[in-house]
Amino acid sequence: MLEVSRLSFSYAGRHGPVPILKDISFSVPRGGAYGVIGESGSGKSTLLRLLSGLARPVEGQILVDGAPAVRWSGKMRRRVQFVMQDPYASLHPLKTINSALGEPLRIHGERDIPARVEKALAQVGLDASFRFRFPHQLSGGQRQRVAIARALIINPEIVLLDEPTSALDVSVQAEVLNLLKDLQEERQLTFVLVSHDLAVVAHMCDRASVLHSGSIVETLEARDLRAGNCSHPYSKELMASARVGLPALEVEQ
Amino acid sequence: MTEQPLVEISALDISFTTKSGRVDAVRGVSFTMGRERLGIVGESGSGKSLTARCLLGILPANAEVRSRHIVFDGIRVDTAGEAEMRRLRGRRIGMILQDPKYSLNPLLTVSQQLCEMFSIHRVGNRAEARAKAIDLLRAVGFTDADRVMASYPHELSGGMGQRAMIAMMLMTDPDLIVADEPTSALDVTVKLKVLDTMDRMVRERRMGLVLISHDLNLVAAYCDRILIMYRGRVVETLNSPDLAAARHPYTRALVDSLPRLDRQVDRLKTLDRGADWTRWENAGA
Repeated sequence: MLEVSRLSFSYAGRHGPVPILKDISFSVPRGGAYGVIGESGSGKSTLLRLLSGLARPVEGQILVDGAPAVRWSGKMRRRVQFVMQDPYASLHPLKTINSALGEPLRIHGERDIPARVEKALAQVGLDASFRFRFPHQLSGGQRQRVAIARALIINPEIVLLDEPTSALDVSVQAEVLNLLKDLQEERQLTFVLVSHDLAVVAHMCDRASVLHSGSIVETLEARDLRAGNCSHPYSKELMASARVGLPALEVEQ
Repeated sequence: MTEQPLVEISALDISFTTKSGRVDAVRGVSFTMGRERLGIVGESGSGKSLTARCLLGILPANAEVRSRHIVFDGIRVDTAGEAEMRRLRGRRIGMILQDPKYSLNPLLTVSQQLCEMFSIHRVGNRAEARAKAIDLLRAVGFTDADRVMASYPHELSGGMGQRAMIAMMLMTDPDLIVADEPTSALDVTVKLKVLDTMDRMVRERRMGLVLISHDLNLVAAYCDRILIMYRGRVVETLNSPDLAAARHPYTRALVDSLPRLDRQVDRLKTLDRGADWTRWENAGA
């Protein structure tokens, strides 16, 4: 469904190009979920910007369903949608939920906007009374649901998730992750999930790459992530951080 | 231990009056701690930061505080005047905040900020201050302490900034450190190094530590005892090793809602927010 081959990106700096991503390749089958694990400065957000057409790669290409994503026409954009990290920042504070959700529909010239907004809200577990509220009247979890509804309202095939739960409390994180999994199954969505949280990635994804200073240092299957089977020293370091406190949480079965 | 408790908080209430009415942010919180590592865990809005901040008397101006008593090492913090609080703050109780980008002064070098602690509290002269600052920077893991001393905060990474912050708090040899989400602004691999440093310092110097976090795993790994807060109340108090045996449904829900690396589940457990937990309230206090 999504194929990325030999992707490179750099910014023009004062002393020549500054490489941000180097030679990134991976592919995700339809309905699959691919994880990208990395810390700040690893290039993971840039990778999502490239995948969503917000920036153009310097080298390499992105294939969506076999077709190269060169010109980001409206058609391509509706196939790939983006859910950002912070629902406090990604919803316009002066626009109602109704207009936030209706906007992608209007842009793509769709009909039946009110009915579809209501349906989209229902799919993420919010009732119709949320339509005329403003973002500040919603909790963080509710806002992230709205952001998910907005991404899904034009029926994309690929959804890019940039740390979708790192701004949320753990109990709310559980609700949002469950929702994402349900929607993925229902609609055969393809996910690319960027996160620094190994447990979240292992829970959501089939495979994941560890991104470090712009390069993929290792690609792991979910079961390797769980078992802690990795060979690169940086992945090992991430693994050690993720396993802090685990023995104390051991639940007697 | 027969010594008197380091901190004793009894029947603490904190509320705010807002346009839409009164908000009870902390309700009837009581606990006692010695020179131990105490974790306070709760989700946003649970009152964990307010509870710890009232020890330093740094609550927002519109907070209404009532308590039977708040005692720090025999000193009544709840009735103390501003002058007395200033002698406690920074001198005997240190605080480490979430993001070193905001808690360090961007216009002063690390050296100026560390030595300022000494001069404000009149602990010693400038030469002693400098010697101690360099010692502490080495102790928190800087191999090039002289260079760090001359650096401004923007020249340090997040993890370095937080370690400099820890060194700064140790300048006056406090008895208690309050760390409010000290690593949530840091990358995961840096997080552990900072926590290990803080942990080593607290143990070596036999200080008390209040570690506030939303991260149950982290608190379980670095604290002796954990208070679980929910909606302004302490719902359960546990020793860290007993976390798996937690009885309160809220604690259980917190433990179960985390995705776990060592256990595969199809769906994560979610909180039943409508549940009636009032009868459980203060069960652990």
